[in-house]
Amino acid sequence: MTDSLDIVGQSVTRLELEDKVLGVTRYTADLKRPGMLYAKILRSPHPHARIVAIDTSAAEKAPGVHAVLTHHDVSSFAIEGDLLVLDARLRFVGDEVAAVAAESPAAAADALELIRVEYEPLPPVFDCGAALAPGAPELHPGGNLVDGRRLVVERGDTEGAFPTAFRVFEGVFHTAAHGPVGMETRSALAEWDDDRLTVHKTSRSLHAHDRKILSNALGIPLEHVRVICTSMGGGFGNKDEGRLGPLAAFLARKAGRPVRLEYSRMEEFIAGRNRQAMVSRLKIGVAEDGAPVAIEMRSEMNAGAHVASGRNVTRRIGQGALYLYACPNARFEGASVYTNHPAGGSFRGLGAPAGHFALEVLMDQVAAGMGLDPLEYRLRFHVGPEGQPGRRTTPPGEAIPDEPVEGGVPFSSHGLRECLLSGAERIGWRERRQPNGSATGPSRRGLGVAMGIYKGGVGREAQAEIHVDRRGRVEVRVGVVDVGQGSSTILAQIAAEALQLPLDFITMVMADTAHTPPGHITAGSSTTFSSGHAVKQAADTVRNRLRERAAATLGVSDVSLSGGVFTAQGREGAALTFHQLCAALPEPVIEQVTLTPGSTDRVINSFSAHFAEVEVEMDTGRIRILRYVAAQDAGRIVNPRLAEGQVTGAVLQFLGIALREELLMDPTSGVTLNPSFLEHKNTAIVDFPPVEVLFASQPEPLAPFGAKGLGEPPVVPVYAAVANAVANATGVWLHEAPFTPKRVLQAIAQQGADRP
Amino acid sequence: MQNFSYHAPATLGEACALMAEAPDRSRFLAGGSDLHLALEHHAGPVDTVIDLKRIAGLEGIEETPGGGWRIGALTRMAALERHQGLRAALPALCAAAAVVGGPPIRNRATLGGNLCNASPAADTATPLLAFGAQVEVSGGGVPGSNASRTLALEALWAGPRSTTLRPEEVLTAVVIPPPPTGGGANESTANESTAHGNAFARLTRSAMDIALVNAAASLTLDGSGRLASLTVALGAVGATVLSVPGTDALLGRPVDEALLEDIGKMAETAAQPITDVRASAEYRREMAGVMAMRAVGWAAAPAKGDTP
Ligand SMILES: Cc1cc2nc3c(=O)[nH]c(=O)nc-3n(C[C@H](O)[C@H](O)[C@H](O)COP(=O)(O)OP(=O)(O)OC[C@H]3O[C@@H](n4cnc5c(N)ncnc54)[C@H](O)[C@@H]3O)c2cc1C
Repeated sequence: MTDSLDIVGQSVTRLELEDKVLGVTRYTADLKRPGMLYAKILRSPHPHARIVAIDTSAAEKAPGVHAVLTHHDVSSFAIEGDLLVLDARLRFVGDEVAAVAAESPAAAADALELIRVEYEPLPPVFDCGAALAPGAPELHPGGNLVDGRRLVVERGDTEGAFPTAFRVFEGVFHTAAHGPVGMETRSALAEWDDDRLTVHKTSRSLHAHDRKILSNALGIPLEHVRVICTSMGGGFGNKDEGRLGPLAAFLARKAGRPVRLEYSRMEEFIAGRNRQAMVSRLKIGVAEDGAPVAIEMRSEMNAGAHVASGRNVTRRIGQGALYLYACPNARFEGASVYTNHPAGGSFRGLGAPAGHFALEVLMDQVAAGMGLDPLEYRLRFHVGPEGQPGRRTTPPGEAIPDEPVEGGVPFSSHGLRECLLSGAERIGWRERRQPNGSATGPSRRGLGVAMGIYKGGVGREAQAEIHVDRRGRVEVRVGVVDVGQGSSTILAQIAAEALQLPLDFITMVMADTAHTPPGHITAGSSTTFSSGHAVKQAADTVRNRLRERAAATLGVSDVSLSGGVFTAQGREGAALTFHQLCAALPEPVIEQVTLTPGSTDRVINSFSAHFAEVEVEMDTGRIRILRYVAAQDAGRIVNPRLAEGQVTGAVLQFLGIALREELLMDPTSGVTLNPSFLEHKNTAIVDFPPVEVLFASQPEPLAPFGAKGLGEPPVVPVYAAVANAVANATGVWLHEAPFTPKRVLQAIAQQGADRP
Repeated sequence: MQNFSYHAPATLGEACALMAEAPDRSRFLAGGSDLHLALEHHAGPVDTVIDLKRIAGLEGIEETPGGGWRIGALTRMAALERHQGLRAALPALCAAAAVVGGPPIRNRATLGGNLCNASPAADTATPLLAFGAQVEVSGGGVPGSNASRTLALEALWAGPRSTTLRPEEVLTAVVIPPPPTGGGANESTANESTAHGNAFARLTRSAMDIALVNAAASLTLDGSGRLASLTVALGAVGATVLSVPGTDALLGRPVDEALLEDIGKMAETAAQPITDVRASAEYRREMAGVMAMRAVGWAAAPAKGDTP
């Protein structure tokens, strides 16, 4: 059946597009309720302090104020292990001290100024080295090294292998903190009906996280909590499960009225979850022919005040070093460190872009050092379909871990080489790339390449429900959130294809715990793979049951289904429309599927090969991106237009991050210095050329209709593709991102442009 | 944003009189692209906003005899950037107007607002200073105020975001003198085929941004391609837009690499930049030199008959 596909593979218009274009779409902050109050948060002026006393009496009496919330009013439930709903201990400038709900945003803001707080300032610590030094102020019990240990992942024996290397290359690479800046700021609306709570919020995980957190924090049964996300205005894996929901819910309970809490842009920059600064020390040993024989990466992430999903962020820094090149010995060591920076969390690609920056730039330095063209080097040494060298250590039949470090585990599909070749051809690598760039003088041009490897088929437990009623309404119910990436359209296409029904027969019901089965988190580029599997399996079953019914009704042994019409096989002219069949159903057809997809013996990864052409102004240090080609292996492409949008958006987002986005903090006070669009400079669309997107052709055998993950993989190689193009243009290696003009000039001054 | 009462008087006299009633709590409004943000963030209490856009005669671009220009204070950036005559004669000003914000901003933002906002990064201020422009201001006949007067542009600014105008005074027009004949340095070549050129250069972090540094140059070349006049101005590297002093010492020299190097050094010396979240003082100083070199090089190219 998958040989000829009708709907999967088509660029159907995304389902919610018209509403978004017309401005009809309702985001959380658009929602209003009768009697609704507006919440505002009092934030810490200190990077590290303890609340000695807090007096809210004046604020409570202020006009229009209905509730004031402090750490005395909330439960002691820790949201993410290390995060209380409100805490007497404050860990960054901007940390939540208290909250007010009032009849207008202005009344709430005015009341904040009436709250009297006595702080005991504590010594702050801002950088990882200082935070790990003996005697450093401890931000959480157990110390500042998260989990009390560094994460170590190892294959083979790097220590033994480095001495055998022909040459060893080393480098230290830095990436800066920045704000992910979804256009919609964080927002939550909480309303109580007796002891039942409904929360609308910006979310990526309303079943798997928000609902449980609210139930635990508010001390009410799970069944009494409903969480809804109407529409997301920018997710990027970053809209967290922290204090927002519980604060709105506690305030609403105390005030006895619905409460909406909406972050300002400044709060979003300071108290939203940012991408944190990371540093990686990388060492690559190569044999005489250039083949990597040992790769070792040691990384640290400045996790800020709370770690949330930061452990995974740190883990992904090692992704490229461990997997991208065939290498018998590889080791990654990662530390997440608490400091008095604002709290970090997840963001598109987790640590992988930073890790790939280090790996792919140093690999270019290896290639240059060994006298090899960077494309040739990659074609020779990238990891092949057979996986890493060595032997599988997990017993056969036993599920290999999500990310096996061991050798001997093949990829289920592998389009990396195809991406390298097609991207190189598109940008004209072989004809146009010169070893020393393509110009001398004040403006120089160069071409760069970088690869990426990322999770492409994360198997999360996924559920889907399909209801077909007598009116012929087909509801596909999935508990995940479409965070803006278009998953509702993709899942509808998968359902329609499997049901063999036209797409407009399908109604998607998502992101409401009252009307969907439990759903997984929208993270790790997993929705198409995991929820897609569940939807497809449910749809396959429903289709077969409907076909059996139609055959029975028509009195034949089999029917074909096309365009919503069942046609009898072998009996001319006998047919039944889908709606006729449904009208005669004795009861609705309902199918519910729960599964955890994945493989016990293959790795499912998405691959990228990106090519950048840049121009560098040698007198100002400015980098201009002239051309960008992104070749992606995401298996079969369910919706080419949406997929191109994902890749283009990913590349533009990370070109901005690579070139200029950076959150600056005053090193003594801990104050964030540029929490605004004026000063945290984002990319303007005119800054960049169109991104040319190519896709590899091989479907993934283990994925629904062959589709692998695509949300994050295209962000992974961007830093390195740009840095390598700059190196080709100027002869200067960039090891610190973002590549601001000043850093480029500094690198030129330190390393000396090797050409006049 | 705070609440305020809004007035749109039809005459200058009314506008100035209204302002004189409560000068510390009132503001003039032109395009509003600066004022709107000021009211939201840092203007202090304001309860009266006096719109200047209904007052006749404050908008328009006209050439004056001898090749000078008179531009009404309420003239918008979009009008400046599109004006054919201005583009031929004062490309530096048109280029500066063309980079102020994006198209919606340029359809609102006025020349007078850009100058009266007194930001050291105001883009049109730099070329105007290089042209030796003057501004006409009027107290609208309010008792006790100055009569209409004309002052040199540099005398308009007291510091960042602060002008020397009395509160009720309105900037009505900008007057740009005809380009110098270039007689000063070398009498004998003054009447030969002299050529004028001017240009604007600017450095930002992204396509839409306030200048980290901007520079404008206005020059005259004599018949043998030697400098007969040269002024260079720099923006965003001091408390106000500033002129690079001492450029007269360069007169008589051809515009070549050596000259540009000297300009670059003079601009670096003249710059008094600060460090902020956009750039360090050190980088700004270096870039003041680079932008000055670019502006002079580009200004000389068409004057020499090259295309920049
Ligand atoms: C998104 C954005 C981008 C911008 N980009 C740039 C840029 O790239 N370069 C740049 O230089 N500027 C930029 N600006 C700033 C602004 O647009 C300009 O300074 C503009 O020219 C101001 O003119 P206006 O008519 O809007 O002034 P208004 O905001 O109306 O007024 C500014 C100030 O001047 C006073 N004023 C105005 N007209 C007069 C007058 N005739 N007499 C006396 N006082 C007067 C007002 O009282 C007020 O204090 C930007 C602004 C925004 C919002």
